[in-house]
Amino acid sequence: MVSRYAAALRDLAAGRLYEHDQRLRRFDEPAWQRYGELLDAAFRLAVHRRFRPGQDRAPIIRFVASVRERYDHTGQDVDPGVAESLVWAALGERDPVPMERAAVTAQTLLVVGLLEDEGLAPTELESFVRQAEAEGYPD
Amino acid sequence: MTTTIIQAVGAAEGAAETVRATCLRIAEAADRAGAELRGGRNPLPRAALTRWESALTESWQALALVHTGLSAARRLPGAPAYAVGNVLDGLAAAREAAELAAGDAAWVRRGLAVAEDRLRRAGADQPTALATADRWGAACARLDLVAARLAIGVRALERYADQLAPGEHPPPPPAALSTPPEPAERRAGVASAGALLRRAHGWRGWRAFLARVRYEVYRELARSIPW
Repeated sequence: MVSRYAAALRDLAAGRLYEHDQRLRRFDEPAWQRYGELLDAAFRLAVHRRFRPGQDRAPIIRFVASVRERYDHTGQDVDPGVAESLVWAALGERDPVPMERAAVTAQTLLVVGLLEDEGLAPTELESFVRQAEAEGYPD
Repeated sequence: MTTTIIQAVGAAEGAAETVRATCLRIAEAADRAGAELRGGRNPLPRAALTRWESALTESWQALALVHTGLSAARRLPGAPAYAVGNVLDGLAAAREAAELAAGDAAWVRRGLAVAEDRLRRAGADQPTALATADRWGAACARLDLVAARLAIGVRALERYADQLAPGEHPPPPPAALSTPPEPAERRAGVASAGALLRRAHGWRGWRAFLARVRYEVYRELARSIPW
C-alpha cells in the first residue's frame, strides 16, 4: 500500500491522467508540499538512473529535445534552457533552478519522459515510486 | 575434484564467449538476408529466414543456459574464486560496447532525420513519399529509444560496479535542493504539465471515457441553450 502522494506519482508516470487529476484535486496545502517533495526526489532519482555527473552535454540536450517533441506540441510550453538546467542541477553540477511555474511544468514532464524511456513494468514502477518516497521524506 | 570443477568452469566460460559471437553472427546474417529478401513470393528465401531466426532464438537460449549454469557452478565447493576484478573488467567492456552502440544510434538517427525531412519536402504531394517519411520518422523515434535504453543500462551497470568495488568511484555530492515553489506555482506548474500530457496522449481508461462523455454532454447542452 503506497501513500496517496506516491499513488498520484504512479498514476502520472503510468499515463493515468484522469486518476492523477482526481487525486490532486483532493490535496490540501500540506499534501501539495509532500507531493512536491516526492516529485523532486523522483526527478533526482530518475536523472541519476539515466545520466552521470560530468557526462557529455549532447545526451541531455537530446533528451530534453525528445521530451519537447513528445509533449510540447506548440514548442513554447517547455523552456529547453530551464529543462536542461534542472537536469544539471539534479546531477549536482549547477546551482538549483528557481522553482517557478515553468520549472515545475518542465520538471514534471521530464520525470514522465525519463520513466517512459525506462519502460518500467508495473512492479518496477511501484518499486521506483517507493524508492523515491524513501528518499523524498525518509522520516 | 577441485581441479576438474575449475577446468569445467573455464571451458564453459570459453564456450559462452563463442556462443555469444555465434549469436551475433547469426543475427547479422538473418538481418542482411532479411533486408534483401523479405516481401518476395518465392518460398525458399522465406524458409531460409525462418530457419535462421529460429537458429538465433536457439542460440540465445543456449547462451542463457550456459550463463545460468556458470553462475550455479561458481557456487560449487572448490570452484574458482569470485574475482571482482574480472567482473568489473567485463562490465567495463560491456559499458564501452553499449556507449559505442548508443553513439552509432544517435549518428544514424541524425542521417535518417535529414532523409525524412528531404523526402517530406520533395514529395509533399505524393502519399507514398509521405508514408515513407512517416516510417522513417517512426524509425528515428525508435532509435532515440534505443539510445535511451542503452544509457539507462550503462548507468545501472555503473551503479552495480560501484556496489562491487565501493570507493573506486566516489559518489557525487548530493544535488543542492532548490527552494520549494509557492504552493500556487507548484499547482499551476503541475496542472500545465497535465494539460500538455493530455493533449499528447489523451485520456485513458473507463473513467476517462466517462469524463469525455460528460464533457460532450455539457458541450451539447451549452450549445442548445439560446443564450
